[in-house]
Amino acid sequence: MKRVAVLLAALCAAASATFAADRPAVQGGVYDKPYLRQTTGGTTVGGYIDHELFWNDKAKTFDQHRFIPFLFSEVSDRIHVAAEIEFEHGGNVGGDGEIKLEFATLDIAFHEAASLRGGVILSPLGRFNLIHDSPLNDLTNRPLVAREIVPTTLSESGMGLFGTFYPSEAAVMGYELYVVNGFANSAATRLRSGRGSQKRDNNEEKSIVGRLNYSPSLGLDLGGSFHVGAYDDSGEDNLSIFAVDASWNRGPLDMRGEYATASIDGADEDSRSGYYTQVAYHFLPGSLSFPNSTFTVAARYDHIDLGASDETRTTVGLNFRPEEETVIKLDYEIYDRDDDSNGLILSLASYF
Amino acid sequence: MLVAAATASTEPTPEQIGQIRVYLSPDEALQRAYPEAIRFDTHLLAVTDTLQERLHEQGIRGFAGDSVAVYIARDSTDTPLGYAAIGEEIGKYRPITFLVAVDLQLQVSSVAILVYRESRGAEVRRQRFLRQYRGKDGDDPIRINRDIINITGATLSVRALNVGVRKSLFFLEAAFDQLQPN
Repeated sequence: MKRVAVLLAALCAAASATFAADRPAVQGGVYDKPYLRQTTGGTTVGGYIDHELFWNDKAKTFDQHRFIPFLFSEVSDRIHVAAEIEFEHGGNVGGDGEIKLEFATLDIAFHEAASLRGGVILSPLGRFNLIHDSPLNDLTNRPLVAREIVPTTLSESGMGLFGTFYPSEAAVMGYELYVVNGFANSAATRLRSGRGSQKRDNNEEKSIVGRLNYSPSLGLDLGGSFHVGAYDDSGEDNLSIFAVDASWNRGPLDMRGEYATASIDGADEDSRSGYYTQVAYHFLPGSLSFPNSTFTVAARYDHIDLGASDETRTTVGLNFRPEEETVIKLDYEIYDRDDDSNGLILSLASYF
Repeated sequence: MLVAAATASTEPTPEQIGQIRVYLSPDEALQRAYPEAIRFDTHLLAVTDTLQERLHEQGIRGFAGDSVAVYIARDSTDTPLGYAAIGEEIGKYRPITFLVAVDLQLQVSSVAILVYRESRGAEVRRQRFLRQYRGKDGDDPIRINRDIINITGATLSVRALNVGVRKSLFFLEAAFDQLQPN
C-alpha cells in the first residue's frame, strides 16, 4: 500500500493547479454522453434505454436489457461528479435482474494533464469497456472478448489520475491510471464471475489498471491498457490482463478492433485470450423523412480462446438511426460451436 | 453577420448556457485567417428573395437576416487573398460564433471558433476537428457520416458547424459572383 501512496503522491506533485477540467481523451467516454436535460444547480440528468428481441433455438424472448439514468454535476468548473445507475433486465424482478451503480466518480482537476478521480470507476481496460453504451454500438451483443476476457461492464472501487495532452495541432494523447480493489477469487473459473466488491477488497493487495491512448488525427485512435494485481483471498496469485485496441473512421466507413489476453496464476486454465474486428458503413443519409438519419451495415468477427473451450462468432447487422442518438438494429449471429444461439436479434436503443 | 433563425423553444437557464468562452475577436480571427493581409474590405451582400430560394433549394434553412457582411482580404499590392464571413449557428441552446475563410478558388482555407457559449462540446474549437473543413467547397456534402468526422458527445455542435460552413460557402460564392468584373 505504501508503494501505491508514493505513486499517487508523485503523480499529484507533477500536476499544477492552473487549468480548467478536461476529460479523458476517449471519444464517447463518460464525459461524452449527450446529457440532454439540466435541472438547477449545475446538475444534468440523462440516460439511455435499450430493449431486445432474441429469436434463436435457445430463446425467443423480449429482454428489457438496460434502463440507465445518469447524473452529471459541476460542483465547480474543476470539480465534477458523475454517476450512472443501471437497471438491468427490469431491475431485480423475479431475481434475474439487478440494480447497481455502474460508476460514480468525483473528479478534481489540478491540471489539464492531471485530474484526481475517486469512486466506482469505469475501468480503463480495453476500449469497449469505456464506450459500451448500446446507442453508440452498431451491433446489439457485445464482443465475446468484451464479455469473457475484459468482463464489461467492469467498474471498480478505487482512486487515481487521468489527463489529456495535445502534442500537436492534430494529435491528442490521454491516460488513465487507477489503484483499485481488483478481481476476486472466482476469477479463476470465469473472469466475469470474479469482478470484485466495491465495498471491501478480498485481500490486502491492490490492483492497478491503466490505459494510454493516442490519436494522431481525428478519426484514428490507438490504445493500450493493463490490469494487474493479486485476485485470490490470500493475495498470492496474480491476475494480469493486457489489451490493445484501434479504431479508424473516414467518411462513411468505421473500422475497429480489440485484442486482450489474460494470465491467471493458480487457475486451471491460466491463459485466455480473445479479439474482434468490426467494420461498419453508413449509407442513405436523410432517409425516411428524418433529416439527420442514416442506415448502417455492420459486420463483426469474434473469437475467444478460454483454454478448455473456444468460440468463434460472425455477426452481420443492419441498423437505422433516425437521429445519431437513437438506433433500430437487426442482427444475425452465427456461432461456430454454440449452434443453438444462431439467430436474429432485433433491438432498439436511445439516449435520452 | 450570418444569423441563424432557429431558436430554442424555451429560454435556457444559466447552467444550461454554461460559460461564454471568447477565443478570438473578429479582427483577430480575420488576421489569423490571412496573415499576409494588410486590409479587409467589407462587402454587404443583400440576401434577396432569389438568394433565399436558392439557399432553400440547397437544403439550407434558418437564415433570418436580409444581408451578410463578407470580408475581402487584400495584401500590400491591393490584390485579393480571399473572402471570409463570420456566422452564428445554434449548437444546442446558444449560438456558436465562427469564421469561415476561403481562397480565390472558393475552397475553405480555414475555420475558426470565435465564441462558444454551450456548457459541453467545446472540443469543436480545436483545429484537430476544424482542419477537416479545409479544401471543402460548395459541392462537398459537409455532413456527419459522409465527409465530416463526428465528435461523440458534441454531435449538435458538429451539426451546427456543418450547416454554418455550408451556409457561409453559399454566401461567399454569391458575393464572389457579384464582385467579379463583367
